[in-house]
Amino acid sequence: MENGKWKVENFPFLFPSFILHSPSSIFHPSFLIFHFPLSTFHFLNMLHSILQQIWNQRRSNGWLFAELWIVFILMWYCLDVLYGFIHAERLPKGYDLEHVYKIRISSNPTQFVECTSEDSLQRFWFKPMEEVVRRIRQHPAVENAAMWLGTDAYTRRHMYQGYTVDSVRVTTANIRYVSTEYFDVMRIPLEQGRELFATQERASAEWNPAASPQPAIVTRDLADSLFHTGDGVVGREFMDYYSGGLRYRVAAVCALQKSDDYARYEPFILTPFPGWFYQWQYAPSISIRVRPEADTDDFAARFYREMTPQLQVAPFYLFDIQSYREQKIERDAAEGITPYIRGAWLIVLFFIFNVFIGLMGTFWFRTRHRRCEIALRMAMGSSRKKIFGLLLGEGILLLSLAALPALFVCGNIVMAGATMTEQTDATTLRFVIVSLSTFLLMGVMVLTGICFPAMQAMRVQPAEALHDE
Amino acid sequence: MKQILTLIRQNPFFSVVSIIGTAVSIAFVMVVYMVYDIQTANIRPEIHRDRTVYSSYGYYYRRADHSDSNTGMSYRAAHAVFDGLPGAETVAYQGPGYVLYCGPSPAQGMRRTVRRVDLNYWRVYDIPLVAGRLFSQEEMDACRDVVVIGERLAREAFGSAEEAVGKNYFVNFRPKRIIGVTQDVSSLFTFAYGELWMPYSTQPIRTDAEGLRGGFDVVALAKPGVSTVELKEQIEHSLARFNETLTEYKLELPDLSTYTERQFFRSDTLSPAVTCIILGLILLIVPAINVSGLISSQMSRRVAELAVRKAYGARRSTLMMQLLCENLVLALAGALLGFVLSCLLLWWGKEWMLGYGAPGANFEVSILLFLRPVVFVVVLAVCLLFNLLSVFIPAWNVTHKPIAEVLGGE
Repeated sequence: MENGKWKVENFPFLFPSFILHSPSSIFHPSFLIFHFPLSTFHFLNMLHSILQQIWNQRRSNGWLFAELWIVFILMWYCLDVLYGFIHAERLPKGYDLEHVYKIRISSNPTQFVECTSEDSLQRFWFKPMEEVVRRIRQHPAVENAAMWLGTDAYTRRHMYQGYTVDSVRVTTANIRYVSTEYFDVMRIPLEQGRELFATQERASAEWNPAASPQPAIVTRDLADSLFHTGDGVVGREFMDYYSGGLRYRVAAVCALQKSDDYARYEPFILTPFPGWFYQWQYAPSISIRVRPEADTDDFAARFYREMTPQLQVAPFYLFDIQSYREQKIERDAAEGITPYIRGAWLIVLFFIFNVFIGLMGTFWFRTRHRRCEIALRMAMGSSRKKIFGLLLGEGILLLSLAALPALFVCGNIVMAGATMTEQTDATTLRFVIVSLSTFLLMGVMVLTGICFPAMQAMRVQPAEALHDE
Repeated sequence: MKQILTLIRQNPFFSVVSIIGTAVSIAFVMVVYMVYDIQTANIRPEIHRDRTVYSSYGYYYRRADHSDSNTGMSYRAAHAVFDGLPGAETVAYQGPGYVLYCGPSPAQGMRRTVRRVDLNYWRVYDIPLVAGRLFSQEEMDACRDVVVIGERLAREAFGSAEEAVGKNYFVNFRPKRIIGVTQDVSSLFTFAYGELWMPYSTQPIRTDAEGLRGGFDVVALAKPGVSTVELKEQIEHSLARFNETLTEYKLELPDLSTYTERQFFRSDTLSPAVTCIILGLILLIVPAINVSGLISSQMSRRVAELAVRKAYGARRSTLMMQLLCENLVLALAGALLGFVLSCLLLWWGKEWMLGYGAPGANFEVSILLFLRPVVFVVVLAVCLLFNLLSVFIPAWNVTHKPIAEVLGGE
């Protein structure tokens, strides 16, 4: 027998528990009335017994312990990385891109007319552009369409500008030049100044690029850094830092914005199209919100097919339509985020599988070794369920014993700042959640791994096993 | 050998668990290796990956106040930096690559990836022609309206590659004459990938910023015997010399990199190979501990047998050898299974693992990519390492137990 010594301590449940323990709970009289203290004894007994078992089998447990310890740390790290991404992804972006597509119109160089006068610009550029947008809006699946220029979501194409109140301190913000429909298409929640979009008339009257100061919708963090307060800033003025004299007035404050699921919040400013847009021939992007029922997987292809002939309004043509969902996939792939997340998941899966195989294998041999011991336990009145529980308990206790020093290492990893904090800060809550998930995940695998051999052990026929011996 | 097989048959559970455990671990490590390998080894059409240096985008700004900064560089600037490098065998310049509206007629178009290249492009990348020819030096110099297209486009528009040659293809609404049709290039090959190729114009669009403005980038191939590191240094020197000729502006190549650096970990300090090895080791150590645990559990049943053999004069090394061999058979079986598994995994999951789900990409890879002799050798090496790692300690322990103690206990 591997653990050949037959000691009283190995079978504590055969003896009255107070011989082995004197838990303080018995000093409390009320405890005696309930069933509770009995099960506490039981539990402590079992714990003691299992610990003894683990110690007796330290040689084969050593391997398991080492494995659980290493796997706990590695898995913890992977889950920590994943937590960072998942947590960041769950924070609202400040707009909703579900059912939103980006349309790019481009100008046909053979039909392009270089415009030098206000008149020709209107005739050869803005009129056709309006017609394109009008035709897009007429498509039955399109709920609303908006034109915009500047920082886009899920790309590296960012447009920045510096802003100031006192011409001294400058705050840099992402800029987006948008038409009024943009807020509806993107479902941007306004926190202050909601009246701006109360009626269509008011919106188009206020959202006037010719006005001075120009209306601007800023994010709360931009308002904060400009005015040192996020409240009651509607109506306050600030300036463009670089092109002096360009003044803005806060028309509304919108929810915090980020340009990517995994990015941090950044200051954003949304204003009407700038002067240069009306002087140079820029083709803006067009975002459309599609009715949910019409947003099928082949919508983009269908739209492209149907609208290509319709949108040929010289000099414009439909160049591309892409859903933001697709743009996100492309972006994540290009930035290496997808391989990162997938790699982390794969490694977690791999470790889980290893824990499963390792525990199953080891416990398989163990229960076979200990056939006689189990039989004896049964002969002495231990129920099959109890044997099962004992084996599972052994696994969980082993995991807990490995988890404690592993958590110490993990804690040090956090302290050393070696975790990924680009997406999410390293907080205590994060540590607790990640540690608990690691423990739970491994616990489930430990239990499933032991389950099979433990069932085998349950089926031991005491008479036979002891006879063999 | 017979003994080994009998042993395996006697312990079906142990054998199965051990083989599966090994197979999954090996499959995993192999997938990591193959992903790395497929993305870095010389594979047609990117046949010179190990000796290419990419200029990547240029970045220039006004030296005095860092204003008027822009990305990109003109042909003139690229040429001045990269021409006449002593360590470069071939230098291929590429004009601004775009996704453009292309089709057999202005009405039937789609967005296509267009590359503007010179003749050296076809030397750096090996893209076989299916029909027609590549452009000539004369067509290149005069930037004629000619285009080489991929087979798929040719078939879609004209029925076959041969039919396409001589026809017109509209690129951004302007007709170009198709002079050649090439085999399609998988988008797995980030740098060689394209759907249409045409000559670039060396004329600058605008001449401000001391003629730096442009959208060119460069691929340089190191001469045999010259390392990519040396070539990069030469490029840096040449860039510094070029900057001395500028009065107001400064040009930088912030992303000058070798192929592997471009493909992975661009900003990391660790070299990609080292990272992969560390990752592989971590992935190997855990299952090795696992199998060690299994073996040591199983070994405890054979202590008596080994002790008896020792008592009859078997040498420790003989016993160790036998234990190692026994497990090597299992490990080999596991490795074979693992290799098959990893190929299947890569094949089924190639979009997931290599393409990262970027949609719309032409993603055709031959299974032959995975079945290369190098890969087999690596499987074998990994397998041996795995076996050694997992068997050595338990075997050592068991064979070093004093005989008397073991037999006395029976």
